[in-house]
Amino acid sequence: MSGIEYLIHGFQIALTPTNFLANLVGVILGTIVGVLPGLGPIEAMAIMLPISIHYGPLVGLIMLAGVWYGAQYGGSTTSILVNIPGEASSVITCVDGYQMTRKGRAGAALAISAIGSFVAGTIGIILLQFFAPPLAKAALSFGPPEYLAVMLLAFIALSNLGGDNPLKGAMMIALGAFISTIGIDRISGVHRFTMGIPDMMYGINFVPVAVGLFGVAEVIRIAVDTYAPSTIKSVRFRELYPNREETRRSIMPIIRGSFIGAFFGLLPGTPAVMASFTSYSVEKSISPRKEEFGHGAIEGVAGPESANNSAVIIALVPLLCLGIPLAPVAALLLAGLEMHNVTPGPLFIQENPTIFWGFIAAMYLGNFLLLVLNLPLVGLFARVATLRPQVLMPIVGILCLIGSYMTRMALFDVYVMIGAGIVGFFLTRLGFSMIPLVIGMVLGNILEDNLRVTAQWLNGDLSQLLHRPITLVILALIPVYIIFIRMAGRKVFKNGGKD
Amino acid sequence: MKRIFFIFILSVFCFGILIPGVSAYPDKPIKLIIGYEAGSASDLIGRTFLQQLEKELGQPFMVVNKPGAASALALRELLDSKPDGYTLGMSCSVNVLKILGHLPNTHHDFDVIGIPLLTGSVLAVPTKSPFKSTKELVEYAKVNPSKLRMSTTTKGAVFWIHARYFERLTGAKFNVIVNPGGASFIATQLGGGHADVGFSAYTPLQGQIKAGNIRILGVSTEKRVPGFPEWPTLKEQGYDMVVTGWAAILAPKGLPADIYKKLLSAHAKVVGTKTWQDFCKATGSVSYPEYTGEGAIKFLDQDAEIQRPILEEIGAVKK
Repeated sequence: MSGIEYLIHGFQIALTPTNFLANLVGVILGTIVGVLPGLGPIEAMAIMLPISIHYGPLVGLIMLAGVWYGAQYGGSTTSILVNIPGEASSVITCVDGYQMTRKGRAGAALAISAIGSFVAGTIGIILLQFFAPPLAKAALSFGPPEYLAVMLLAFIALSNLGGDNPLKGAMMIALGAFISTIGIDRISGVHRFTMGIPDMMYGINFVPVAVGLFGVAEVIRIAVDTYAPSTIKSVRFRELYPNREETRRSIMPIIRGSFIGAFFGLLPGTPAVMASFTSYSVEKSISPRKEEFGHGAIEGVAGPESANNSAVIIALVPLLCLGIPLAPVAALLLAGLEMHNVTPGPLFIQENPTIFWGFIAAMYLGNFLLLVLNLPLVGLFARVATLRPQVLMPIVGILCLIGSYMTRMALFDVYVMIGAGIVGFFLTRLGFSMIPLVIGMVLGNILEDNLRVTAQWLNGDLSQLLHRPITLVILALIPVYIIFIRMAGRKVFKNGGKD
Repeated sequence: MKRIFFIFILSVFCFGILIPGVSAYPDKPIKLIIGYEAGSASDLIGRTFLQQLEKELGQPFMVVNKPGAASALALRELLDSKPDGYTLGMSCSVNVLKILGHLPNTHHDFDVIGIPLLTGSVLAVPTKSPFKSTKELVEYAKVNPSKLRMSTTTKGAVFWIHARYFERLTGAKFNVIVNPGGASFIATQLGGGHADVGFSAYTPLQGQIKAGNIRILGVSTEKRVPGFPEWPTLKEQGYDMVVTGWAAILAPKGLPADIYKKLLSAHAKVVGTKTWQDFCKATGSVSYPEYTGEGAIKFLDQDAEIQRPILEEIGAVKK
């Protein structure tokens, strides 16, 4: 059978009532957990796992994966509407998505993010369908030094998100990196900055900090500016959807985002988060309208919201073709398969063509279902943004509280969130940007871990890095990238875009 | 299915009425606090075991994940709960948390229900590795100290301890690489040939073993593992290394005697079922009904004594 025949056969499998229903349940549930801040796909999937076991490996895989990528669709909703990141990978969407809402373009942002997710999801599945085995091989050829090099490159690439003042940006990155070191060290097991408080041993969780810095800080800001007239305009139905200009500007970011996401999907850790940040940074670097970023640039929604979707789909490659779950969510899918004695690995596609192709077809279908489900919801959600702040903001505050508590049922996280909100409010007033702080929190940990593992791996001799060809190529990309950014940025500097 | 359930409920109900004075425990859902992230290897063991325990006790379980500090945060919450049998906890390191300084208590401060599963570490090498037996590996490492890269997990965590224990027993020296977190790092590094040798559980390596990228030199259990009789034990190769990772089900101290007894018998019964034994077989683990209650406490005592000197060596021991 050729690839096409396999795929047609896959669609026949995916369209059987049981599989179709599993798909539908998965994506709907995924959308819901995506929309709700705090409750992430991992928790939902862990609850679903025992239920799905009764129905065979394919049903379980379809349903659980549906929750996973469905959550990436829903995650942007609260980011755009009320400045609360629904998932960690949607933090960066708050920046421009929420500004678009304040300008009355919530509908456009939501619609573009749904369309971008669909396109990126589909590109991800196409890559998975045709290139899974070679991609898996590439992932396996990456040792600790290569991971370190990639993380360094990402760190350099993200440094342009420091805000208007480079010094303030650097301070925020350092603060974020510091916060990420709190807790029991994941390598040495040593307590760092826990001050003997048991709750601090787990470390400062990312979600409550992000919810506080964005959501709570915004609630405080609006409460303080009581007498300012509402900035959110009401919109007519025709204006809900993106206009021609917005659509045109989103096409390239969506495509670039899809491929950036695909690359990060192959790396361990938090692929979707890294992908969305990097995509935002790339869009900001190469855009001729740099000054619009942070004030409602559609590219800042289109790129990241696409990148996280292709990242989660490509993250299935190491799972299916190597049998190694690099992301925590993949570990759940692996468990679901192994309970049916299906072992993913290099021979998985040959040994289980029905499962593989049924799964591929089901994901095409699931992505389409998500688009059909999400586009009509845009109108409904966009209306939420037109509520008066006196009504909306208390609801936002409560959502923040519930969201932070839900991540791991700890009251400590709620205190962290409130603290982050207050700190975030004052820092924003003082002209600090919150994005570098968040980046510092995400990257600080990953970079530190990779550096330390690589150092052990090379017996402390980091000059050995230069003896590995792949590492060398990635490291060489760093100066290339910097030069490229300077060139792309020159136009803006000449226009006096900065004071 | 529904009917059976209904009849079951009805019979329990009638039984309760007919024989007054018999404890009705459990008459509401039981909460299990798992000290690890949802979806992690330990979490999945816990959830699979609960499915069986649910059938035995006739009440649904509710899982709450409280990750952090090698399950110390979850156990802290368990210590504060009422010992009424409706709150249980799961930990894979309760006996050494005091040594590590994460918790001022040991397993003696809990009512130990049992250890549903023990997993031996496998000593694994990439398939193209020149070492065909543990002996060859040890001999080479003795002559070339710290040259071979040995991939493990976090310092103080189970596979790291096993790696250090192996060094102690054999006198060989490795460049022990400590990875942040799960065994998937070990799988990638061995599968991609980035490490020369590694200690891990079987399941994370499974895909790469079946693909022919990773070979197993030995397993650290007392006897050969039922699911994989082809793996030689380290013991039969002349290295007396019998250590395992495990998961323990605990309750707050002071359970009423009848409830404790009921939980113990339910645990022993579930561990003996074919479903559970099959699960253990498939995951390369072992499971003994006698590791219930007293038997489990004895095992935890012995295990802590194996781990103590290694933890002392890294200075993790809090005085």
